[in-house]
Amino acid sequence: MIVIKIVGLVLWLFFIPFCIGLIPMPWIPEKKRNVGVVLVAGYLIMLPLCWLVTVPCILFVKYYSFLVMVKWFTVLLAAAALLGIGAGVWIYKKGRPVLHRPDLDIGGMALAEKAGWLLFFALVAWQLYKAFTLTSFDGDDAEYVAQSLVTWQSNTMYLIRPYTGGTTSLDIRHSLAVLPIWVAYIGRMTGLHTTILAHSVLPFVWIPLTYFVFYEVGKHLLKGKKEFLPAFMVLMALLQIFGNVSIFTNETFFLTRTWQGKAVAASFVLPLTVWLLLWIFDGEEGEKRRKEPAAGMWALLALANMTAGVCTSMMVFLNAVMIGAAAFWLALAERKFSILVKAGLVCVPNVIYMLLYLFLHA
Amino acid sequence: MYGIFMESVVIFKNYAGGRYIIVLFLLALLYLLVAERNKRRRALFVYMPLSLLLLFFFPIFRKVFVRLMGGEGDTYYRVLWLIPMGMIIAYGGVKLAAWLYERKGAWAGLLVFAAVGAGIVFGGKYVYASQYMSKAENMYHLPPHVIKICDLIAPEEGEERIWAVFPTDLVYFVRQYDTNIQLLYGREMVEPKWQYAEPVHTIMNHPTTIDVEELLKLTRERYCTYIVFPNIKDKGLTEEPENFGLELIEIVDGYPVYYDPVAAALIEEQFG
Repeated sequence: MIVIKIVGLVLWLFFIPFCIGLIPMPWIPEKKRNVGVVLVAGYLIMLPLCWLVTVPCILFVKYYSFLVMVKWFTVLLAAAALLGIGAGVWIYKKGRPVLHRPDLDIGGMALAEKAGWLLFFALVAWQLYKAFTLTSFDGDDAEYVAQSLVTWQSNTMYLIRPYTGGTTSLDIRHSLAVLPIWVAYIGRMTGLHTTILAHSVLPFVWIPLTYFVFYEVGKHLLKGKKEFLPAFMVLMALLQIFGNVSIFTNETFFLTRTWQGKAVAASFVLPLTVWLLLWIFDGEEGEKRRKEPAAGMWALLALANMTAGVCTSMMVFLNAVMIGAAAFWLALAERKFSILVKAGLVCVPNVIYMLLYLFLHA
Repeated sequence: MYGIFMESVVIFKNYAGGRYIIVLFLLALLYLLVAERNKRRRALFVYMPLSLLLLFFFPIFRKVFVRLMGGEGDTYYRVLWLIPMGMIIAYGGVKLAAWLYERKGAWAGLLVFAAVGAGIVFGGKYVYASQYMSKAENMYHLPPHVIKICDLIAPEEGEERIWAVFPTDLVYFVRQYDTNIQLLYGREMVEPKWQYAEPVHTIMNHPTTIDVEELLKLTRERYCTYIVFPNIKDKGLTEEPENFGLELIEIVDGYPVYYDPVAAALIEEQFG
């Protein structure tokens, strides 16, 4: 039974997102494609797809809306995974590698570099070990984690108060941030209690994915100085472990509320946005802008905005503020007005989301 | 406007928690302002964070934020999440270390790296030493006595959901384990900052003694069939619950769990 559940978790949390993540790869520069990028892209497609299925079900399906959501989301995921596999086959048939082989040369690494990587992996392993063996009390779990379980057990969405179980009219405030529904969906497909999923399993997804984002940021910033990358990663890991200077920091959220939407938004989506902005804009100074296909990366940025909305409604607004601020300074740096236009376009999902939020609140 | 600005200052101070990591961030930002030559990176790691920091202290932005969040200003600190403080510290530190490494030798680079690392360790706070952390005793990461109580009272497969009353310290966890147990009051009533009032909670939350007669009057009106009293070492009862027809199921880790057959009979009578 346990083995079947573990296989189910690998299937729904890694294999299917990986297949889906292959979809945008034809539009991502070849050198940037690796397993982590594909997996991150998979989550950036899967979670917005979850939103696109769940929200209409919440708004228009009167009885057992979760059952309807499960049916349609499964169909969509299957179609997306097949499409991803098709994209991979298409790249392969064109004679191009689907994934760029990592230029890992352990033998050629200096001792300090090797020690740095070892220290970094030890720090991440420590965080995973602690995430599994320690529990952190957070009052919001009574809403957040219970919401997934209510959905899983009652087959309704946002019609039952998670705190008490009393029925309610549609809970608009939380119903657009559908990450608890995604957790309920994974629980339904794997047969795993959603609280175990949230507290004991999801840290093994979000913590490595977040470090992968940090790795990509570091790799980009230390291009040409990759011997310093382990140092960057060690400092990032230390910042997470010792970032609990108050209950408000994103580092505190990352390691004490890893499974909650706001933690995913703060620790995964926001750094991811910085990474994608770096990807899109950061070429070598003085060098002519690379003629790399950037459409896939802009699309991922739009998907990051949608993922922010899956995590928490507030982050839809805040991510747009961050992209706006970045685009303003990048447009000045590059002397290109078009950057502002493109940044505006990738924020269209945010505008639609906010309008829907305001409309439902009215 | 000045008042709003000062509120933002307080929020910033609370966010920084009086520790020195924030100083590391400001030093790294200053270093990148001076040393970063790549204009695109300056835009992302110097000007964008600076402008977001200014925006955070800008009173009109705070007003817009509070308005958009439906009047809730207590989450304003999340604007600070937009500033990639960690990345700036790590990048600034490694950039300086690399610069010294190339000019002065490996020892200088390692020294800076060690200094930044030590600054983070001693200027920050170890998350696993937090008062909110404790050893997980099961895969649910829920207190085992809550699981035991829930298993005692939860309806069987296919049976109707039940209503129950739990003491304040347990209400957070019950419905994370089983939502077929419904609560007369939940977390929203027990959070002091929200200042809601609920009559059953008022009785259960009495500092020393629970008025059993008053409690049962209210719970039976609401067809509540299970009552879990607070830990017997913490609180007393005005009378023995058995005097009112309650049946003790078990005392789980000091929490007496009662079944109320009178409420069950009322349900039978009312709903068949």
